[in-house]
Amino acid sequence: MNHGDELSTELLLLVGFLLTSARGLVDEPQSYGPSRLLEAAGRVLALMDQQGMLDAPLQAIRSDIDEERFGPMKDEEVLVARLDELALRWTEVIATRV
Amino acid sequence: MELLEALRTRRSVRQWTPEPISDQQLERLVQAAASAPSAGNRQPWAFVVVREPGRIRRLRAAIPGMSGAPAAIVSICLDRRRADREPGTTEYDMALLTLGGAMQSLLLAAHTEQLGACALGSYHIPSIRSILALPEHLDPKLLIALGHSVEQPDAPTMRPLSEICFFEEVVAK
Repeated sequence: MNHGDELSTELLLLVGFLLTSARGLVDEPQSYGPSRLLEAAGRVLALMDQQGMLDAPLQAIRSDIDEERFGPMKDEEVLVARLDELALRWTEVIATRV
Repeated sequence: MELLEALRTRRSVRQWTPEPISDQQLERLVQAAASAPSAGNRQPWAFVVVREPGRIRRLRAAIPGMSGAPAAIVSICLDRRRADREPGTTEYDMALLTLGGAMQSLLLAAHTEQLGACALGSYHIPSIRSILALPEHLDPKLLIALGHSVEQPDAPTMRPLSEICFFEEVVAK
C-alpha cells in the first residue's frame, strides 16, 4: 500500500469514527462528548504526523492531547481547565500560521 | 501476582504497542472469563476474539470509546438462547451481571499476564454485528481491548470507602 492509499484508508476510518460517535452520543453520558472530540483531534493530529505535517510546537500539543486520550478520565472541573488550556495554546500556535 | 494486588493495581489501559498476543494467551484469558460464576449455571455468553489487524482497524472506527490500537479485541456477547427472557426481567438482568463478572475475570487475567486491557461500552452495535458476523442470538454487550501496555496509567480518583460502604444499615451522610 502506498502513502496515498494509507492516507485514504485512515480518512475512511476517521469518518467511520465520527459517524459512530455521532450516533453513540445520542444515548451516552453527556460527559462523553468532550472525550469524543478530543479523540477526534488526536486522530487527526496522528494523521498529520504520519504525513510529516507537525513541527515541534504542534507535536507538543499533540502529546498533551494524547495524554488526555490515553489517561484516566478526569473530574469535570479538571477537564474543563485542561481543555481551556489546550484550546488557548492551539489558538496561539496557529496565530502565526493562519 | 496476588489476587488483591491484581485488583488494586489493575488499570484501564488505552495505549498499546504493536506486539501481538499469542492464541494460547488469548485462550487462557477467555478461559478465565468463562470461569466466572453464572446465575443458574446458564453460562449465557459467547466470546468473539479478533486478532486480524484489518478487522481491528475497522472495529476501531466503530468503537468511539477506544483510543489506541490494540493487538486484540474480545467481544463478550449475551447468548440469548441461554437468557431468552426480555430486558427488564430478573433472568435478563442476572445474565447481564454474569457478563460483568466474566469481564472482570478477563481484565484481571490480562493484568496478571502483564497485558493492558480496557473494557468498552461505547460502540455502534449494528456495525459491530456486521464486522463480527454475529448471528441474531448473540448480542455484543461488552468489548475488551487488549495489548501490551505502553505504560501503566495513573490511578484514577476513587470515591472513599466511607462514602460507599455501610455496616448493618445505611446512615445518611
